[in-house]
Amino acid sequence: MTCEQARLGFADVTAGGPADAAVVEHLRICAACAEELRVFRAVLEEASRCAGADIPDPGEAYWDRFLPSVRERVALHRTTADRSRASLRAVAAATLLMVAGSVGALLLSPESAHHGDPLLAAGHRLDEALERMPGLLPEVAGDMLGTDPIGDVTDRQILDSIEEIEPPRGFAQEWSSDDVERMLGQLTAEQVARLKADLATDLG
Amino acid sequence: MDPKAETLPTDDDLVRRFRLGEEAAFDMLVLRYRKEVYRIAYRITGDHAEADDLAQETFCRAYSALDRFRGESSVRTWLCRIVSNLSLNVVQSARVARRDEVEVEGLAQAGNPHAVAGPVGLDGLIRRERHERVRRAIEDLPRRQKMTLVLRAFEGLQYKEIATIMGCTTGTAKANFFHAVAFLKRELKELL
Repeated sequence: MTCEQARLGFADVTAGGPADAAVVEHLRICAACAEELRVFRAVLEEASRCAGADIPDPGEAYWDRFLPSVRERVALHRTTADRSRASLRAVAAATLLMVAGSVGALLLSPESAHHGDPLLAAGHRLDEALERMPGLLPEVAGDMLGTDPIGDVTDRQILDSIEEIEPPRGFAQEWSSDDVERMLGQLTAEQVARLKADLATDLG
Repeated sequence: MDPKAETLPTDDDLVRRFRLGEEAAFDMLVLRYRKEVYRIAYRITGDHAEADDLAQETFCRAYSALDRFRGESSVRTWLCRIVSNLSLNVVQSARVARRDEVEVEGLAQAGNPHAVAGPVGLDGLIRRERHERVRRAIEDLPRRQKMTLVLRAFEGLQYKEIATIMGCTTGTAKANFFHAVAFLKRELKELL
């Protein structure tokens, strides 16, 4: 066993559990590593003494208030989350209606009887919009997560773990401009403007 | 055996009951783990107000996600994971701002003859300075090393639990611990 391998074993040696026999043997014959282990322990003790000591107890009054505070926050979070989910549904519904509307308008247009291309293009737009719908929520959620003012959670671990999206404050302003345009890139500027107006109304 | 211990519901029981609509089951989980969650947040942030906010936020997020909790780890480990991640994110984003505040406070105290806190006398000052240097060195640790150090050395979690919390192998958790201590050794060599 090399000194480097033995030193990586310090994590076990200082954990109090069974240490690797090879590490123990190495420490018996290598004075440098034995000294290194002594320093390793001293650092840990110093860190524990200074930063790992008992933390100040906030007191019974604090703990009595803790659960009610969590409950209040949960209730607030529920309201916000419901609101954002409703908004996302509204966007999805509005998109479908608008794209379908544009197809309908083309179908009713006398020009469409003579020109197949615009109708085909509109049909493609509808297909593409429909294809995007299932992926719409995670895409928006990812953006929302990146701007989460509370946790600024970008770590995939926690995202995978809790699978919960925290809507940012100022949600309507941040989300209703660029993201909508990107998601609904197939719509005209006028349609996007109408959608934003609908969204603003929906979000109050 | 304590007869009361037999009647205490397990975490899994509480999760099951919560999923069946029993809100009080969630309350029991909060009461069971609030202190541990708060402690981890406090150890990472070093600030009561932050720790309070993060502990509440942890349970709030857990509440929202409990329906989908897969049970691949224990509830305790899962909560530790949430609070650790949240705390480290906060510390990382606030690190520069906090340093500035500390410096301003230090300057203000230096100019204030009445600004004496904590242990009095030379020993007290030396001790405070020592604690502050260690605290800063820990704060400067790379994120995953810091998390490992806090969970292992201060909270006494096993490497296996830490690996689950951090989404890595046990070997990586051990290596992070080793490198964290090595970093502290370099930073604090004058104190040792």
